Amino acid sequence: MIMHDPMHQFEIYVLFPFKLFGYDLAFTNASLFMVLSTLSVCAFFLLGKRRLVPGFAQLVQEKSFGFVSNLVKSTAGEEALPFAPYIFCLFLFIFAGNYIGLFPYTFTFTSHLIVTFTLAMLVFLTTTIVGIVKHGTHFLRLFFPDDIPIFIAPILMPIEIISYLSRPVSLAIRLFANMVAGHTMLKIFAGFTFLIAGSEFAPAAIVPLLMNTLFMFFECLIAFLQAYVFTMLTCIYLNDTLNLH
Amino acid sequence: MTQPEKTYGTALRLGTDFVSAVIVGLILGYWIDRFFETTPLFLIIFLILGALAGFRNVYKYATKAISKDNNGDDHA
Repeated sequence: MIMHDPMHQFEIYVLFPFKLFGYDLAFTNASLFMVLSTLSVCAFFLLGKRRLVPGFAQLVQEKSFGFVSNLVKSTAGEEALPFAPYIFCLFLFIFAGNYIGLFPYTFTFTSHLIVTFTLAMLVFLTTTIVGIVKHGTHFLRLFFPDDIPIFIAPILMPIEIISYLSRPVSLAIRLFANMVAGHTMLKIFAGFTFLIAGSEFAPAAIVPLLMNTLFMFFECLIAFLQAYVFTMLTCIYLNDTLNLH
Repeated sequence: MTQPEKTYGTALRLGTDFVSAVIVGLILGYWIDRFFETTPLFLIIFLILGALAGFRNVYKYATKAISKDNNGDDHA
């Protein structure tokens, strides 16, 4: 039995070639699943009727927004509430992408560094622009904590700037690495199951199968946690630039 | 948010917070070196700065967690 390449699931292929002004804007399987996750989120929010006493669908819709807006309020304060819908959209997009990717034969677009990095850059640029608009040149105080002696400043400034620039990289790598690691592990254990089932120790194939079942539960947890951590850190970064010390 | 989810979040956060600062230092150093053709001077300087920034990321997180702990709040 041939073992399938565990990285094969991350391959991108073109569905509809499309070129505009010399740029390759082809519609790939990654784009397809981004559209699918957006549509599934939209469909979910159109479910049910709007009533004063909410039904099940409306309850879940209201609770999920309440969850994110509470998170925004508790970490970044009342002032950050106008950003709650934006952060909610980011959360749902990542959440839907992670969960859709858990189904067999689907594609996880959050397992591509460029996708997660784009999402992280969106957050980074938003928080930076918000900080500059709100505080003007005072924004640069972010790189100069006030409780340090003046002679340490030349050393600490570049460190603080690198630390600030590392935020989007950290956001992007965390989501990407977790998704890739989990999905690769699932594939490898599935490969083991078939390898052992094809050999003379066929009954032992139950062991990697059980392991895979366990990992699947774990992956469901990770899929939510990664979306949650991404949202929480967005709130923390927003707090840092909105409420300077 | 319940306690275990917050703790998992922390565990997932700290590792990449350190590594990403080193990566940013590496990329900055590499670009500056390419621009001024001074390989590997700035690469070394920025790698060290990146590692320091990584420690600073973790340190910032730790001081926040400790001060919250002393105030009797739950762990962030």
